[in-house]
Amino acid sequence: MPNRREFFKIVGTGAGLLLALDTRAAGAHQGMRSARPELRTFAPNAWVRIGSDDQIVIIVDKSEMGQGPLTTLPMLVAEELDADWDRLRIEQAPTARAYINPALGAEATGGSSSVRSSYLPLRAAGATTRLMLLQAAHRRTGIAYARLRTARGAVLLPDGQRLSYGALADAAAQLPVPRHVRLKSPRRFQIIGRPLPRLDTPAKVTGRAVFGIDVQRPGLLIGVVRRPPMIGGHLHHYDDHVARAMAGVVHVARIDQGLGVIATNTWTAWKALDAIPVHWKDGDGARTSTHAIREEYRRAAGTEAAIAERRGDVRATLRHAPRVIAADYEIPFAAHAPLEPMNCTAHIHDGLCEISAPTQAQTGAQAIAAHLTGLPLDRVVVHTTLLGGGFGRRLEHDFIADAVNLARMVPQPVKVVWSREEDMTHDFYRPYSYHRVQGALDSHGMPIAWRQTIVTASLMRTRDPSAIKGGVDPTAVGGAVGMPYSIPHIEIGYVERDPKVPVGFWRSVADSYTAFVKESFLDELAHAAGRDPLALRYALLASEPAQRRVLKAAARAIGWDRPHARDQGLGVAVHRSFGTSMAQAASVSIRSGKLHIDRLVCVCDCGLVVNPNIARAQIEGAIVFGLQAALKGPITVENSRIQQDNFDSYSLLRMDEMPRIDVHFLKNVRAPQGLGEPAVPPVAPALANAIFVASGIRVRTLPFPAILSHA
Amino acid sequence: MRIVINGTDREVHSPPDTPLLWVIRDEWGLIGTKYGCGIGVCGACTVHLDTIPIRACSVPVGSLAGHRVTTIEGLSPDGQHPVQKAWIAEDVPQCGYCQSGQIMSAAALLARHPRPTDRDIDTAMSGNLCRCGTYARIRRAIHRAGKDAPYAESS
Repeated sequence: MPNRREFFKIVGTGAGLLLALDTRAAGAHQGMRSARPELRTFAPNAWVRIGSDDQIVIIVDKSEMGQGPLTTLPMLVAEELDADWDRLRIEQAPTARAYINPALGAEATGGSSSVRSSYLPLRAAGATTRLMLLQAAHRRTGIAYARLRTARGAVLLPDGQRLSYGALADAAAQLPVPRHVRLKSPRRFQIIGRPLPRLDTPAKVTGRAVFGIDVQRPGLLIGVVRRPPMIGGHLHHYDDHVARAMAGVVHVARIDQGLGVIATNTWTAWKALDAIPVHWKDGDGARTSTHAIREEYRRAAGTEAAIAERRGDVRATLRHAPRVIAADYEIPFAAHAPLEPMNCTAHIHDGLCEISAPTQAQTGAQAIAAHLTGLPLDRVVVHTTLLGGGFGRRLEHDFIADAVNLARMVPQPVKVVWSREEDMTHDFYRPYSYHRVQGALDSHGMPIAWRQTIVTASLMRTRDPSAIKGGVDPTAVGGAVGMPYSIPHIEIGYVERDPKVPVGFWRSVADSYTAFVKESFLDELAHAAGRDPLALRYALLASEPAQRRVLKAAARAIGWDRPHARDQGLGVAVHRSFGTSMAQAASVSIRSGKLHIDRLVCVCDCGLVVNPNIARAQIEGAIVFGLQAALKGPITVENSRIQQDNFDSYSLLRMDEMPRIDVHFLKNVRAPQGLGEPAVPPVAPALANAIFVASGIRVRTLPFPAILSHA
Repeated sequence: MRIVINGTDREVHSPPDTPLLWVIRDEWGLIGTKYGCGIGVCGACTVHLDTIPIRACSVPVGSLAGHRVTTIEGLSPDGQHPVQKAWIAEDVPQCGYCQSGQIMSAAALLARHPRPTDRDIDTAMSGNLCRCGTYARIRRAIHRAGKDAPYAESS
């Protein structure tokens, strides 16, 4: 892993891109050379390194959690560089300012931003490198630029001679970095747009892939932790004399509100933890439960809300409209439940804190480690491993803190591994939300007013309260504001309530519940008006061509106009999130009160698709994620304790429960938009709308009841 | 006691109540077999005991004297087992964490049923959870492995 720090600034200027390189990069570069004096390296920016041995290294600054940046981001660089795709080496980036994600303001992976935020900068990095290699070739041969071409990692001369990039590396390294560079027209793409296989697949089918939990270090110790079983609780008293006497136990200590054990191996550490009688103490305040939270939120839904969006005069319209429909919706807490439980390895030595972690948030990991150790930020090194799933859970740094806290107690490196039970009961859950919606129809049955009050936790309250404006946390109302339907009177209100349950960013965040309410309630209005829900959407999406297009394609694919059986129902939902318009259509049947999903169709407009193979996998996976939350769970709280602690009580979707899923992309050369999350939100409402048609039952809570009956 | 792990006869130093998973991972350093739940419900730790797929997290090593255990590392000498080739051809993994277990379950299924039906696949694979949702590709890869290769269990 390179330890170079390169500082690189990119400013988009329309036609070309302006690049300014910090001179500190060159100093670090010299250091690299001294390691292998015969090897000359050309490293014009933070993402490309070309050795005189012809090895091209592309550095990936996003965390690989299954969404494919180890493949898609190098494609962006290689396209403009005209590199040989089959001969690249890919490295995970170290922590450095150059790798700050402009979409998130930190070195972090989230918000479906990996490709979106890299599309221009990484192409510019490739194009700049190529231009400098061309200049080096021009200087060496005296041949005019117009007669030089590049392909597969080499400059091609008019006589067919081939100057490899490695042979030009040393000369190119002497040249100034150009300030402007022209990018290829998408029509000329040769790598971008191809369904290339993932570069990480071979390691992942042979067991060689190294996730955080697989980190090995000389002298490595294993740390395990137990946090209070009750939210807000803390460790009162424990007796570790049996545990300390066990062979292989190195240390027992309080950490934060819980207890940590360090041992020479995992099983010993867990056995020791189990051998420690622990008395926990409740936190301040009353014990909480799902029921209490629900009652509080239901009451809050009737109180005055902070206004997140207002169009026209909703209240007057509701008072005078010929017809008003009202409904309450609720969406439960949900766990991230990545298959790899939280873990982190930390080693404090020689005035340095070295972290190896499956993290989505390098900047956050670095900051918490610096805070806990008292070391300056530049003495904290974060190595990013592969992530065994992320879904937003690994944006948090509680598991990083555990490793750093335990590593402070011993000279050796410590790998902290959470048990599944620890992971499931100490998640930062998708917040529970309660929604009160009222809609008004005019005398023709067209919606003229939409009033929605959203009661839920604020994710930003503890993370960055300055993001809360006028009492509205934008991360709580995303997908409800910016209503795409042309309804003249709209009011979206937000009531913040702290459920006293830890909450966090869960794949697609607020859109995961706002889309369920928006798309379900629009169907309610359509049925109340006796209108076809699809036709009503078309009518109200006149100024949203992208959403209309995906909706139309999904409806056609599911066979909206074809006759279907009496117990069968079709439903649609359309939603735009993370810049991507996504329509889903579901075909379901209800037999003996049981839901059968016959088929799901998804049509996506996400702009240009960089890698159709990986893009399709992302959508398939996001649909399964959405299905799980629609059909399974929820996370519930009793006596301030999370009631689900493993996959037996919080089940994931299984192979035998998979419906047929068809995914289609609409062709588009617009810059790429988000893809990891946008397929989650439409799943539940598309199904709920189909269930209504099949059974007459309107489902307004998730997950769907096991038996769909009117009882 | 001794166990044959991936064809090599090895002494076990861990106490007999240690789950096989932690002997594999911590004592032998074979990291391809994963911890997911510890109660045998997620399948991430699936290995072969002789030819039977088992959940290594829930089997004490002391009960296995004299048996042969095969992990993902021992499935084939070169990563070219028909199931691994099919997994590559269908580009199955996303995060990849559950895939060792998926592949071990699939290999055991195909050794018994070289041409499995969808129902066979449902039965054999429903104990292996994938949070990324790669199930459709897993199914295709199993059918492909059954079709493409004159199937032989190579462990």
